[in-house]
Amino acid sequence: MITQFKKGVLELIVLCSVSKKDMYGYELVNEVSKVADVNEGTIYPLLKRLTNDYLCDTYLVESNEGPPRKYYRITESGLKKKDTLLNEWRSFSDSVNNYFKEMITNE
Amino acid sequence: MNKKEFLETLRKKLSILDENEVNDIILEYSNHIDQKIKDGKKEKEAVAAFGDIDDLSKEILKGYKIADDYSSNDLLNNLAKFFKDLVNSAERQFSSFAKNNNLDITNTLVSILVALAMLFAVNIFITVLDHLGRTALGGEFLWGAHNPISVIWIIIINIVRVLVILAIIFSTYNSVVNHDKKIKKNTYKKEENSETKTKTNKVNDDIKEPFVYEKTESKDTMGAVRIVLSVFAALFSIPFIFTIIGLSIAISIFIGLMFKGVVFIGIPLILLGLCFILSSIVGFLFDLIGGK
Repeated sequence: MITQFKKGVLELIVLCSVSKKDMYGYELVNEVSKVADVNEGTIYPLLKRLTNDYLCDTYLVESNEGPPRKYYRITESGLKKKDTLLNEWRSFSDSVNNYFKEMITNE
Repeated sequence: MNKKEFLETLRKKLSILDENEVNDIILEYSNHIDQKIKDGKKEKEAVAAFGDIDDLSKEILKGYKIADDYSSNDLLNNLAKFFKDLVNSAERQFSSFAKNNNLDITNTLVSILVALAMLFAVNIFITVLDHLGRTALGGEFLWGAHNPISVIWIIIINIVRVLVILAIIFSTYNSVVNHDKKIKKNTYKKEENSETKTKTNKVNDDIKEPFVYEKTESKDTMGAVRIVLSVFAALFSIPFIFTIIGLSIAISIFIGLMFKGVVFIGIPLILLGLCFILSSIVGFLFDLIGGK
C-alpha cells in the first residue's frame, strides 16, 4: 500500500527538490530518499517524463573525473505545476487526516 | 546482471527511440551506477537497485507517449498476446462465476473429469446397443435408408444418446454448483489456511458465508483454470513435436543421400521450412503455458 502513496506524491517531491536547487540524477535520488524510500527505477523515468513535459530542463556539466553529468533544473511551468500539486496535496491530506482524527476519537 | 549487460539490454529495449535519446538515457544510468560504485556499492547491487529491466524500460517509454504494449510486429508475438488476453479474460469470467455460485474448485474439476469419463463410457455402451439393435432388426443385410425400421431405430438410438449425455451434464452441473451445505464443511477445513477470522458456527443461518471463502477461492480458481489450459496447450503441442521429429529424420535422410551422390535440394529445404514453422508454433504454445 505504501507504494501507492509514494507514487502519487513522488512527482511533487521531485519538483520541490529541483526547485530548491539544480541537481543531477544521483543527487536527486538521494534527496528524495530522505523523504521516502524509492528505487532508481522509478525516479529516472519520472525525470524523463518531467523533462519531456517541459516541467524541467537539463544541461550537461563537464567533469574531470568522468563523463559529463546531466543536471536537472526546474522551469517556469514546472514551478507552476509544483504550486498546483502542493495545494492539492495540502487540501487532500488535510481532509484525509481530519477523517482519521474522527475515527480515532470515535474508537 | 553486470553494468555492461544491463546497459546493453536496456539499449535494446529502448531501440524504438531516437539514437541520441537512447545514448542520453544510457549515459545517465551509467553515471548513476558509477556513482553508486564510488559510494561503496557493488556493481551487481547497483544494477539490481533499478528493479526489473522490463518494467524499467516500460516506465521510460511511458514518458514518450508511445503505446504501452508496443512490441515488434512479430505476428506470432501478437497472436500469443491475443490468446493470453483471451485466457486472462476467460479466467476472470470463470472465477467470478465460481464466486457467484459457491464453486469449490477442486471438486468442480474432479466432477468435470468424472463426467467426461462417464460420457466416454456411456457412448461406448450406446454404440454397442446400437449394433445389437441393428443385428436384431435384420442385420446389415436389410440396413439402409429405404428400410423404415432402420430409420426409426437410428432415430431412437440417437435420442437416447443425446438424453443420456444431457443427463450426465445436467447432474454434474447440479452437483457442482450451489451445494451450500457441502461447501460450508469445506470452509471450516480451510480455516487453518485462510486469513479470515473464525466465524461462529451459524450453519442454520442465512448469513452470507461466501465472504469466508472469497479470499481463498480466487487464487485457487485462477490457478486451476491455468492448469487446465496448460494441459490442453501441452496436449495440443504433442502432435506438432512429433511432426518436427519426423521432419528432422527425413531431412537427415536427405542429407545422407547427398553424401552418397544423390542430391535433392528442394525437398529437404521445404521440410526445413516446415520444421521452422512448426517450432514457432510449439514455441508459441509453450509461451502460452508459461507466460502471463
